[in-house]
Amino acid sequence: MEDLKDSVVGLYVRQYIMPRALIFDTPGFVDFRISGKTPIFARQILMPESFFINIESKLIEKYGDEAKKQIYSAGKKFGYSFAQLGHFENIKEHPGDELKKWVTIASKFVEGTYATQIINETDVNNKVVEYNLTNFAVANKIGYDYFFIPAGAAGIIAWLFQDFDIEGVLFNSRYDDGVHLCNVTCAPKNFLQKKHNEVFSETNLGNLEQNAFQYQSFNKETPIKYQKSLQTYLNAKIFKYKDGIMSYKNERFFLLEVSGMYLFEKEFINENIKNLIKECAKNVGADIFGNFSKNLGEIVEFLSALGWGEVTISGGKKVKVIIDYFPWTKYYKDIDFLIIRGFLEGILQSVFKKEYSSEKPTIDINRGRLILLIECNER
Amino acid sequence: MVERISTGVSGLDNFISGGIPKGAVILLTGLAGSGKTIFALQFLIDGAKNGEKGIFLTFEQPREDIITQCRELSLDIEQYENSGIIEIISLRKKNLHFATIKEHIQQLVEEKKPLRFVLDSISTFSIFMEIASLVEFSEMLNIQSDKPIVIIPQGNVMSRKAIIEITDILKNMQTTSIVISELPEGSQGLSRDTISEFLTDGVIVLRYMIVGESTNRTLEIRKMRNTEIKGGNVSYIISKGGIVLEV
Repeated sequence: MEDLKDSVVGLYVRQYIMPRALIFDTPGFVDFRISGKTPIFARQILMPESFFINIESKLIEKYGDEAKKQIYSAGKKFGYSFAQLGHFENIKEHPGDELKKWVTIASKFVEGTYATQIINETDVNNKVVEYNLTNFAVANKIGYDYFFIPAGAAGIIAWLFQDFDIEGVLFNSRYDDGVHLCNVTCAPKNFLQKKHNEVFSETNLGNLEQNAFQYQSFNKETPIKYQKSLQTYLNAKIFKYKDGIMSYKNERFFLLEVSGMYLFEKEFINENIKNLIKECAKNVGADIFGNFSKNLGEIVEFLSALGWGEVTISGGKKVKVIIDYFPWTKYYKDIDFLIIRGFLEGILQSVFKKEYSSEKPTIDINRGRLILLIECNER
Repeated sequence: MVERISTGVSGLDNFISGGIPKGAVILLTGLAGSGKTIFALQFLIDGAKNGEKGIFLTFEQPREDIITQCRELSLDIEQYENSGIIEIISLRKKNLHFATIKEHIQQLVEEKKPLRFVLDSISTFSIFMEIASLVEFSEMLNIQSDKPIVIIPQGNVMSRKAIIEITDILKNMQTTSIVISELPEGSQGLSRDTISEFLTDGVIVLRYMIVGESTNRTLEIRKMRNTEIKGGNVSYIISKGGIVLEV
């Protein structure tokens, strides 16, 4: 399926470009940076897989196809935005079969922490990309996913082909000897509809472009008060990385360009769904982050190392959480930071053995970086 | 059983098993404006209420400024100063050599036998020492010149040596001391000199962050030897009476 040339490109990206491009030895920051003809800079956070497993399954259980559609829309916007922000080379710059190389490169970037293996076959003329995925995040646990695959993949391919009409479908999800395998096809909608019953569509991708200078400036790496970075935890074997899977204890983590978190939350305006998002994050916060240590100081340093910026939690009548250098995107005014607030509520519950509810954050960007103040009250 | 001395900040002793271990040297560090001097004055006044002698030695401010600051916060230091329980000694603008300062501190502690001692601040002291050491060095070599003299800077090394010696003096005197240090903005260390935190028995960090319209102050006990430390950061405000924890 994958020809030799693509395989060499994939190997080159995975073995040479990825390790050099991923910057994770700076406390508070995890970045993807490649200085080339078209520089790439992407601020990342390390996201626990459980959050997406919980939220996708609960939303779909409760709201059915409507939830699938909304998750898909958010995912496709994220995929497109990610490729656009990363200046992934597209068909305008590389017409014809030359584009195949860039489809493979994009796949290998994703493969880094999302899958053990991604193999693709591209038909440039018909704008069809067929993927064979091994152990892809989220889907490997619940057998389906609407955010990363097929939607995220569809967004990336839509950018590469410069065609909003390209959608994605996940199918043939199965386990072979304990290994999760599935297929994804990204292609124009009418092509997919001939073969699949469930095809979602999202073509509102025209307003996702972010000002790269502004994005880099707000997310610029700066020394913070903590000493530990993701590298520290990897060196100490607290985090492990093997075959495209990064894990802490039994929890799988993956890198998420921060627009993914913003766009996911932005898609949902229904208050019940918003509460559900926070509730899911809270459970994950309590189970994973809250159990990292009994010492709150160690937990905040851990969160900072995962790319959150500089986190300070101070106790008192109200618990105040200040997150300095929090990852910025142009959507910072459009969301209530439900995922982060949920994680924090869970952490506080786990550490203090009391229920907390967080208020909508106070946001400050006056110093050229995003600072969040989140006040949490005992319930 | 470790004998403990109250910090003078209401509620803080609960976080450190009842207070600072008697005889310990504590580094009190924070950004400019975070309330370090106020904390230290509360520490002295608290002791004075029980008749404990205290000395406030400053390289930073004239005595009058400290009195004014105390008045604004309704900290009644004057009555204790008048009765001789607290002494405020300002060495600001005094052209003293390190050896003289060291002797001065040693003499003060030996003669007055304070139970509580504050040095404000080790940052100013170390900057002062960097300059003074160069002057001492040139005098030692008997260099006299109308033209500028270029000396390879050893000030940093000298000031570190001075800090080590000062903390040693305080530790040997059985006095419970607070040594104030400025924390530069964005600093990854806990003091300007980057060694005080390792030499002292405890470290208390005061920080503040303005987010939108609100000023958020946090106090953190980073280290306290022979002490079980409870919790992480605690919010505080500065109001009448000084530093008040929001617990």
